[in-house]
Amino acid sequence: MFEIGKLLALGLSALGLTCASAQAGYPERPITIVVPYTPGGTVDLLARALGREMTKAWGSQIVIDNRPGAGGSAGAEIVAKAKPDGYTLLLSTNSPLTTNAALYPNLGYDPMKDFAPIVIAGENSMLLVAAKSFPPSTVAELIALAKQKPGALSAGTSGNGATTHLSLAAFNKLAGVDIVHVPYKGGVPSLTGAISGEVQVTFSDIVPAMPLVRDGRLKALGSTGARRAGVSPNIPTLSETGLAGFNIVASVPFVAPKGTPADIVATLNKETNRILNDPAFRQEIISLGIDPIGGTPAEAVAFLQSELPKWKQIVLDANVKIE
Amino acid sequence: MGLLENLALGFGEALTLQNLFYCFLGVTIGNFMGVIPGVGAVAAVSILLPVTYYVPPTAGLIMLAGLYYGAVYGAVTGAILLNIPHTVSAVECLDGYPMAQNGRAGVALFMTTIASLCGSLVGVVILAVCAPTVAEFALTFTSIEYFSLIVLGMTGAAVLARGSAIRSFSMVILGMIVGIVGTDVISGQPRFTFGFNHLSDGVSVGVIAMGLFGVAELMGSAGRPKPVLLESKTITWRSLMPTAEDWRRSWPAILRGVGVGSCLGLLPGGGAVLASIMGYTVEKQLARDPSRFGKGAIEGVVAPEAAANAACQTSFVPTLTLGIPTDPIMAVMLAALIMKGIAPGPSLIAEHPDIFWGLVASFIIGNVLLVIWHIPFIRIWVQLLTIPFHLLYPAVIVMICMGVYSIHSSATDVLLLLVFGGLGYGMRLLGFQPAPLLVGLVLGPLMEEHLRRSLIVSRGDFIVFFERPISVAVLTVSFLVLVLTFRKKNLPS
Repeated sequence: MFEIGKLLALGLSALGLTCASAQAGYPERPITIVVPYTPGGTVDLLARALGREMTKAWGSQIVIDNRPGAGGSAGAEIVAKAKPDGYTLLLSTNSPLTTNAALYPNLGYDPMKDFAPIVIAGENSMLLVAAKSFPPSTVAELIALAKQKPGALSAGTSGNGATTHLSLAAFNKLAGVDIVHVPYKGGVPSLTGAISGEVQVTFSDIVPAMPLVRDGRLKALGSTGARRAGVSPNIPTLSETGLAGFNIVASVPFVAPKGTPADIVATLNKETNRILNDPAFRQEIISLGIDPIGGTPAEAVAFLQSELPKWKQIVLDANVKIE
Repeated sequence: MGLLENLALGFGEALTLQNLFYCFLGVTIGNFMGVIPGVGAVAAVSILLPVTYYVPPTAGLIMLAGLYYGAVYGAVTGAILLNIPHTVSAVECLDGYPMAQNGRAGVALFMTTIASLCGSLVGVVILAVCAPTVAEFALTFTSIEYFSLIVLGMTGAAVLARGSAIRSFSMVILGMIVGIVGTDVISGQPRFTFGFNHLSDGVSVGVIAMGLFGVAELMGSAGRPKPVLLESKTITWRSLMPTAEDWRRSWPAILRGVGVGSCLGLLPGGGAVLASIMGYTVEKQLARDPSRFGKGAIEGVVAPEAAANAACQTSFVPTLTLGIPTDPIMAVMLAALIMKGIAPGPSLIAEHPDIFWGLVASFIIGNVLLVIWHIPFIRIWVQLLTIPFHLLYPAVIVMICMGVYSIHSSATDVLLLLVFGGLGYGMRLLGFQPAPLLVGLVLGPLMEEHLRRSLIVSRGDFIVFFERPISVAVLTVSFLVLVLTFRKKNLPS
């Protein structure tokens, strides 16, 4: 039974019992990628897919360590304070590295100073959806209705301070409307809220919304990025359909603790880029809703530096401050 | 295609050697994770998730689903034997543990196995027969309906408790206060976290339940040396078997539990915990002699167990027919499908009948496997009670701490476990029940969230709760339950 053997090997490796094969240079023992979310989410699945490919290439195990809490900042703090030897890394959404700095007064780490970015693995857009029975079918019609009846419309999001909430805030500002924010506990309830008609529209991650859109239970008004998302090439962006200039995407940075030797960062960067360019892998993560990016560590640093003030401004506009 | 043909297709799929193996693997690991205090299905998933990359989608789904319901099956064991519950099995402590104390642990475990099987099978039938229609109806529920349902659940707290109503309500309030700890869903503000980032996600219900019931029990028994509960030689197969009286009392309770659980599981925001609380409430409310409850009434064990398992199976309905996951594990299942290029949602049944019906058939196989697994083990579990307390309990405490630590790899959780253990011990000494606290803890935050969301949507107008028919009906029932309970309690016994 080949399957059982494979399974046993996986089980053992999951317990961290296997030893890395002796090999010159980095990596010479298992690498831990901290994912600051519970198992099964988009970033977790990306980390596991990435880990699988790295293990294939290096023969050294990649262990995924889920450390949820405080909007991803609990896990980020662990990595910020880990030994910078390239064996503890962080893969998360941009939140712990950007928005949380604006949301929380005490993060326990400095998003800019405590990390050595390896690469931006990818980005993911969100989707603005509406109930089938809701009259507006385009974002232009939605804005017109919102202006006609100020304060009458409600929008669901996955939670206060989440990227979906910040998308709504940016939407309200750019369109000059005041759609009332209705936070839910997670993305799925915010979608059922739109289906039941409790809220008229919802900002959601694309992948969980897709089956409901395909089924005609919800209609997609547009995706939030500057480009159409790879997972839904037929859905236009909000910018295309009536709200020019709207561009909110979450990114997925891959970072090491500050002080990690540059050659280790370079090795990780090279390997991650190689994996991100593999067509089968690209397809796999696009189906998870992540559009692969890649690039050099310097580009990742520059990107994160440009993102921080942008998100701080959005948080400021959204008027959320966590005391 | 008729239902039978569909099921035939499903069994053809589920009975392949490979799928059978993964079904077995899922339920076995899930079951063991459920038995170990503190470890649950989520821990099992993170171990087995990588396997799903290497197997076909149906096999992966069958395994993940098996983990989920296998863990619910196993969860009751610790509650009955040692008063150490999982989140889903906390209510089973109330009468299951007294049964074990009376030397009837084997009977309790046997009957809960039967209750689980009945609950699960009925849940599967509902899933197979009327999944899409029912799911459609459940989707019309808004926060208003959820709020009313939770109010009904809250009135259950009054029923759950023995003795003084004031005391039990004060415990509900305390539970609600503990439930406030963490990030407020509506405003995003941390509340009662005292500056600890760790508390920003709240205190896990599982940790509190284990502290209040299990650790408190262990602390309580430390002071008074007890002999072993059972002598090895008294454990005969006969002593594990329920009597005719047990069967007579259990059957109707199981059926009612199944009914309650099946309905609640269908709601995207329902779930096994709410189902088991409601299952218990219904039994105690209907009982001719409610004073038996809390002292080892078998109805109080089988009804919540049947309800939890039925809810666990029917909660697959929204996941599979609408693509709306009702549990983190189901979200993982959907992700596993998506990665294989299969779109979850209503078209799943039509486009991939082999996957859908294969999964349904695997539920039936998995549940039968679990029963076959479980019954021989009952004797082994019961034998745990023959270990002298001074040896058993330290070992159990260590197990609980390890289990709790494994959930979030957090030492703070272990500390919280011990704090709530101390609190639970204090409550025992003062004659306060932990069950109502747990109800407040589970339902309080939900009630607040749905109330506040309803009010945001209605722009502050309370009348909405009396405008929607389901809400009005449920609120009326809650009111009646409350009145009846107070009348019963105030009657001289």
